This record gives sequence, C-alpha cells and structure tokens, in this order.
Amino acid sequence: MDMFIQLLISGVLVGTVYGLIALGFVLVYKSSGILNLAQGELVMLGAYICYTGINVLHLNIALAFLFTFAVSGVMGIVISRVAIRPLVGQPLLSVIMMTIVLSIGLRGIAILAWGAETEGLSIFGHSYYHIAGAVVSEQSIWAFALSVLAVVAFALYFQKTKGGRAMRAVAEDQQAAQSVGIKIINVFDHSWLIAAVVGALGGILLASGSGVSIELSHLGLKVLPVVLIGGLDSIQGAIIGGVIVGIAENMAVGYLDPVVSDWGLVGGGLRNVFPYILALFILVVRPHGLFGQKRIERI
Amino acid sequence: MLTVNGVEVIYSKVILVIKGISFEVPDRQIVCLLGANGAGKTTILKAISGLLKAELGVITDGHINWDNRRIDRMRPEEIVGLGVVQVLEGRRLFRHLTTEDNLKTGAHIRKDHAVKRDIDMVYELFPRLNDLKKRTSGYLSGGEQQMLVIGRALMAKPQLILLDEPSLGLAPMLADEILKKVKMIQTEEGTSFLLVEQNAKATLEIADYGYIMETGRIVFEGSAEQLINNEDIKEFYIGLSELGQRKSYREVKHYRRRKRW
Repeated sequence: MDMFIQLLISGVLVGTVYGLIALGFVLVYKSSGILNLAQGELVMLGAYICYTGINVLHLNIALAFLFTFAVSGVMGIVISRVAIRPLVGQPLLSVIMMTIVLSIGLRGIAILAWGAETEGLSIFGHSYYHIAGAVVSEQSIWAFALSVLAVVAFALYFQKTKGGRAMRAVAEDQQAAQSVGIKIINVFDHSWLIAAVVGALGGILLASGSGVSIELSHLGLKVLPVVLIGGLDSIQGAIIGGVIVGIAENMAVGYLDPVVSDWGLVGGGLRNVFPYILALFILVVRPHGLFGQKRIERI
Repeated sequence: MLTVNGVEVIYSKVILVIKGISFEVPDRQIVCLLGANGAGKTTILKAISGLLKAELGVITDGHINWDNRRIDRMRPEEIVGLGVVQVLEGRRLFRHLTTEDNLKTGAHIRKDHAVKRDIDMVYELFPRLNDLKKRTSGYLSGGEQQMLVIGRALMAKPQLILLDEPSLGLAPMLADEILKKVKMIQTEEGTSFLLVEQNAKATLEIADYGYIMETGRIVFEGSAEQLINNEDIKEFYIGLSELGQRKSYREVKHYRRRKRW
C-alpha cells in the first residue's frame, strides 16, 4: 500500500508538468489545427536556455526564469512567423512536416550550442518531505506548484481576457472570427508564444530533476500520449491526461517492470511505453480522447 | 456610403463568379440583393468584407469604396475597423462560448470602455438573449442564434452591416421578427444594411432599394416599391399572380423552373 501511495503521489507531481507541456501542444492544435511535433524541442531548449542563464550569465533563479520565458517567447513568435505563417492555407500535412523539420533542426542547434553531455540544473533544494506516507523531493513539489500556478494563470487568461476569447473564437470558427475583426495570424503567433513559454517552463521543471540533455526532447514528446488520452482539443483534457500519464508510468515502473523481469526479459523500459499502450486503449473506446470536443449539434 | 464599381470575382483562378457588378448602399438605408441560389450574392458580400481572400477568391477587376476609401485590397480586420461588418450565412457563432462571450468577441477591434453598455443595448434589442447570457451559445434555438450573430456584429459599432440570409431555416414568423429588428436597428441606430435574402416579399417590405442578381450579374434594380410592383419580380421571386393569390402548384413549379433561366 505504501508503495502504491508513493507511486501515486510522485505520478501526480510529475504528471502536472506533463499536463503543462501538453497545454502548449493543445493550444496550437486548437487555434490552427497544427500538430506541433516540435513541442518536445521547445521543452528541451527551455531547459538549455535556463541553464545558460544560470551558469553562463550568472543570473539568479528568478531572473533566469524570466530570461528563459523571454527568449522562448521570442523563439515561439519567430517560429510562427517564419516557419508556419508562409504555410497558412497549404495542406495540413506540409505544415506538420514543417514541425518535424523544426524538431530535428532545433535538436541539431541544441547539440551544436551545448553539446551532447548531460548537465545538472539544480535550482531547487534537495530536502525530502514525508507526505501521506510517501517520500517527496523538494524539487518535485516545486515542479508541481509552479505547474499548477502556470495552468491556473493560463486558464484565467484563456477564459477571462480579450486575447483568450479571440483564441477560443479562432479555435471555433476561423472565418467567423475574421468577420468580427480578429486577425487570425496574430492569434497563431500568440498560441506559439504560449506553447513555447509553457514548454520552456516544463523543460526547466523536468530538468531540475533529471538534468539538462537532448533526452528532454523525448520526454517532451510525452505530450503525444497525454493529448491522445485527454483529447487533442481539450485544455482540461491536457491537464488530466498529463496526470493520468504521470501516474500510469509510475505504476508501470512499480508494478509491471518487476513482473516483466520475472519473465526473464530485461524490463525497465515500460515507463516510456506504457502511456502509449494506455492511449491506444482509450482511443479505441473514445476516439476523441476522454475530454475531446464533440461538435455541438442541436437536434 | 458603399460603392461597388464594376467588380469581377474569380474563384480558384478559373471560375468567373461575379461578372462586373456595380451598385451602392447609401448611408442609413437598407439595400437588398435578391436572386436565386448561385447568383453570387454571398460572394459579393465576402468581396466587400474582405473574407473572400481566405477562400481562393480574387477580385480581378473594379473597385469597392467605402466613404471614398478604397477597401477592396484591405484585410478583413481593417474593414471591420472602418465600420463594415459581415454577418455570415448560417448563424456562425462561436458555439462553445457563452452568449455574452460571443457578444464580447464582437467588440474585439474596439479599444474604448463602453463595451459593457453596448452589451446591455443588445440585450435591450433582443430581450431573449438577456435571459440566456450564460448559456453555451451552441444550444440556443435557431432564432436566438440569428439574433446573437446580429447582436455580435452590432458590438463592433458598424455603420454598415452585410447581412447574409438571416431568415435561412427559420419559421416564417421568426424570420419576420428578425427582419423587423433589422428595420429597428436602421431607424434607431442609423446603421445601413446590405441584405441578402431569398425571402423577397418580407425583405422588400423593410428595404429602401433592391437589386436583382442572376448568375453573377445585376439584371434589375429599383426602389423597394418598384420591385414589389414589378410583374416579373412578383412572379419569379414572390410567387404571386395578378390577383394577389398564391399560384397553383403547377404554376409554381413552372415559375421555379423559369427562375433558373
């Protein structure tokens, strides 16, 4: 039972970060219909930029965060304007291919700039706490708290502000949004900016536990099972999907890996595979994911 | 005042949809465009509002002026900023947003702080929307949705509304109610309308002037009164015979066939 609670709690903690990263992915999909397969690289670059801020520019942690958000935000807008905007109106597949090109390109840039070594990014304390019978690191509590904060801030922005309303309007009906004077390409820029910033924050939070490396881009791609489970176009689905994936991979490590080892297989790899298996099952039962939007049709 | 001068529209580089059209919408007037499906009425509205550009449609000839400024090369949001707003056909509201949020998006281009007051004004005009302000708009009835899209357009404080088939798919009584509101907006707010409709009779009752379109051309124009009293129009678009009675089924079928020319 202790082990179960331990796995559950640490799953929820890391899952919130996944949810945050997935939020950026969902936002780009909702506003422009584009599957942003470079979201993982935005996560990775966020961590590298923060690492540079702290270790090269010697910023304090708060400034390093702001520095990361600023650089990532600019990067998001540049990607939107330079890579995505010229493809508006082109077949969706070309746009998605473009995000693959971006993902490979950004990973290459990261290797050129920072090398392939894993660097430490210890920005939080190293204490451990006992919560409900589980041992929880200070780092994961920070990661959880900051993710929740970011999600709440984003939700308020999305629901209550003019910019958020414009995003929801564009997500719903692009031509109708244009007809009321919303400039769609600005909304695209906005969604990439937010995707890059929340991705970067997610990257910092993940790297504060695991270190900064190219591997983060794969971790960043955890968004795929997250959004498949939660529903591609659902903001709350992204968060809940993130938590589900966090819990699922921890449970896989705790309960399934030992079983697989007993069978004489090497084991240990289920952490990365299990979320996809789960996504597969959920997609079979609910093709829109758990919270995916069905169109409202009055009968 | 809107002037459309010799406009030609080509879709996908090959299909000539509008074949040189000229007309005008004076300030504070309701001008209607009547004509069968496929005549190009919607296309001309989109050409004015700039929405055509997103649809592979291109204005290849002529120009469109609004208050002596040429607007046919402008982007949709610039045209909305100048006070010309289109209400698209088919009640295109933001279905997952509430009634009130829909109205707020209508004020997107505005920077002043009177938005709240104008929302109340829309509620006054359409009291039913006031009761439904927190409702997800996708669940409103057809008539309520049509009121909402018109209300949303009003939120931009337009001087000209391009209104595309507001009575489409509504019960005749509701359609009349919507058109009455259009008349009310015109007289009270001084907003002019370019109104595209299939329902010729009800439309001509509120309109000041009308144009009849057919396969990309204007074939007839006149004041609403002239159009109502014109024999051909009566026969083809209103379906009334000399004595003011409905035509028999056979004759209506005949007129439908002729309507296609």
